[in-house]
Amino acid sequence: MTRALQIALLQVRIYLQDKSDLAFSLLLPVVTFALMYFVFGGQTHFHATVHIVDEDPGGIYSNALIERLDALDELNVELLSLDKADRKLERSDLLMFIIIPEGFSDRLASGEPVQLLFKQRGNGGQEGQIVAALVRSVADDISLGLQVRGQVTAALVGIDVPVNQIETTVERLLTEERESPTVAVTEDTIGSSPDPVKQFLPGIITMYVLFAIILSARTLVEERQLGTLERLLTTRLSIGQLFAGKFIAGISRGFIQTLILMALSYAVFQIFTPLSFASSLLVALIFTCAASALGLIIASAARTPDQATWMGVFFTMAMVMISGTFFPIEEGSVMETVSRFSVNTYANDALTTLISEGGSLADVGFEMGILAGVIVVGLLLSRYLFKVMPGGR
Amino acid sequence: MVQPRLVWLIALKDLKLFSRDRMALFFFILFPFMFVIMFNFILAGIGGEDDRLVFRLVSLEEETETALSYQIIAAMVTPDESSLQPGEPLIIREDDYDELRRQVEEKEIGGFLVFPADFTEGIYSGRGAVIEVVADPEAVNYRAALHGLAEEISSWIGAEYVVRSAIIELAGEQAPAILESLDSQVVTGESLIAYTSEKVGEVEAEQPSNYVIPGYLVMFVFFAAALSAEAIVRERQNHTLERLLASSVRRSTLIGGIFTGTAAKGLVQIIIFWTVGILVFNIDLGVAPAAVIILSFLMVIVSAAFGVMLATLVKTDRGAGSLATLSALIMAPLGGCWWPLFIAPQWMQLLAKATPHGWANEGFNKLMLFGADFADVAPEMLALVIFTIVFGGIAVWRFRTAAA
Repeated sequence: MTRALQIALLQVRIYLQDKSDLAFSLLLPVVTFALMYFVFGGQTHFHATVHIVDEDPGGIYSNALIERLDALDELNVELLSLDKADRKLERSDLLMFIIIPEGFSDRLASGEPVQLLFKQRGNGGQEGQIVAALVRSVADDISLGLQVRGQVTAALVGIDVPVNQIETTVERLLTEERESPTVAVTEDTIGSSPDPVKQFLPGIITMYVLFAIILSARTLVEERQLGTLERLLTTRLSIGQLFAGKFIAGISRGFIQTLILMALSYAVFQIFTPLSFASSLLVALIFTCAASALGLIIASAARTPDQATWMGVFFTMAMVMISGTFFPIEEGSVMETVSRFSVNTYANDALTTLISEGGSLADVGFEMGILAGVIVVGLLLSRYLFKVMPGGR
Repeated sequence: MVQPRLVWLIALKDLKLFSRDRMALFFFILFPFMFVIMFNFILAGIGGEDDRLVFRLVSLEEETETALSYQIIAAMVTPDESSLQPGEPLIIREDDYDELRRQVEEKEIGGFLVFPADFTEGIYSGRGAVIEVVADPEAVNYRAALHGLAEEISSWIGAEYVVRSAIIELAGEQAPAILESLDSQVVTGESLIAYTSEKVGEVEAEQPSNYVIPGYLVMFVFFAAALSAEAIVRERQNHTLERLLASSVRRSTLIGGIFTGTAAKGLVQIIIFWTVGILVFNIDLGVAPAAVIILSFLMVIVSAAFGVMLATLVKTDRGAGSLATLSALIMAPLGGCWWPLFIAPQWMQLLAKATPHGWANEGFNKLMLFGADFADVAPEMLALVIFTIVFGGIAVWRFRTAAA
């Protein structure tokens, strides 16, 4: 056992001294997680493009409408020609556009009613309907400004108030009303948004731990090809000890990586309690054991280092892909059944239970059982396939 | 002076090695399609949602003749759903506030608008009032729509208030009489801007393959090119490059051959990707298919330059492999290969511009999703050319045939 541990220690030392390996196993998960956090965690506000065909270019009110829409945080404006907008709508490249008709500004200025045309597919899609609601809100506000001026002017007919004074007063009051509205809009949100940290962190950690352990299978194949393993057998080291050493090396390497990543998450996001942290580490340890056993299978089955790399990359990406690391899997869907074939699914589920749902180790017994099963089967199979020289025993 | 025949021979050698490497062929050609198939399956139907928006309004005021909230709700509710134009929202009056809250909690509805118990009193007393948007924070889009409606109501009431205030300020002693002569509630009258809609067909969900295939194409073309750096470094380490120099091959020819070989592998990838995409996944190349082809070609060129440049930045083949994987796996999500850039926040879209992946993906999305024509993607093409010049320049400057 001591000899096996010595082999493991050597591998850990090599890992900690290899800058590129450290960057791959520690920097890459952090960068990937940060990107996913910002893409899927920061989207708390609606944002869309409103496509407008302006047939009243340069008009005071058409310009005002476009400028005010563009000033909204929720919208950005794209002006199109009628032909281009029609073509895009025809091809479903957009679902709705707005036509500001010719003479829009002149007619509004003279107090005549005008029409905005929403040209769309179906109801305009969900996004299109929301864009339309925002456009209506802004257009109504412009209309209300004009109506207020007209109404006040009409009400003051017969009273000696200069038009300029009416204009100035109404403008000032409208500005005051915009700055401090009579009716304010407040919001009460019920429930909470899914926390991207808890949603993605387990998947990202297990993905890169599996990646790192599986890819280290290449080293074992290289050692076999170079005769290093065979030379080791000329010492008092047995094949069993060598095998155990490589297995423990994989576990140690993966566990150190997990420990650093989880400790970082603990420090930065405060997502753990001391108990959930300890429980998560235990799950991580079981997972790294399973990953190490799987890595040994690949190392034993591959004939060349390149083959080990390709097999490792394919295996890891397939496991990650079907485990719902990057997207939630719906319960009862076909994908859920498929995901059950990934070892990552069980580790992710167990970590999610411990981190997000406040569960205990007793709640993750099933997942731990499956991972333990993978370890046993993986070890038996890899020991059976394990060779110290190419084509040899 | 470059020797074209030798360039071609070196490139052909790389291409032969690639075609015989079953693992590489599997990983760079078949493997991406596993992602494409899976994401096509998962994302199918997304973007096809077209149910009419439903707004629910509830008042907590006591229902009396003078309660403003009930007057507003009565003026807004849809009398007959069948009379609504396409895209016009359905507005419903609700009376059970607690039930609505429960529905939001259970995520059965996205939210609703509430007029509080002191709404009318707040307005008439001059203290001001509020309209409350009660919403599920996850219903980002619906919340925006509810806010739009609430702001619209706020504008109406504000306009009434401004009319009255202006008359009081300007008419002096005659103000009470004028105000009395106005309609008791609605002084601003009908909106001057009306809305009509014209429906030209039904909403069709976007085919996920139209953005999944370009994303994975960009990722795996760059991945393959980056990993070719490993082979270049290996040839440098085992003195193959020096041996070639010792024969009649010039340094420029060597760089040209390696670059052409890497680009040729990329070309094989894009030809297979687009062919399978069109024949199997029925992807739509948009109104300017020529622009898609040119953009793909530019992407291949820039990826080849990137691969050769990487080889000049590292000393060992192991280092090249690590750097290639690291750069491929960071630049791919950053540049919008894993998810479409248009769903990412604005600053991340900007950050994506630091990678050639970002420009290539934006160009493909513009052409294949948003109906752009050739001229619309000229900036993306130009950016890829600039990246090629930068990467290629560094590669030529740093290229060494000997390990030392």
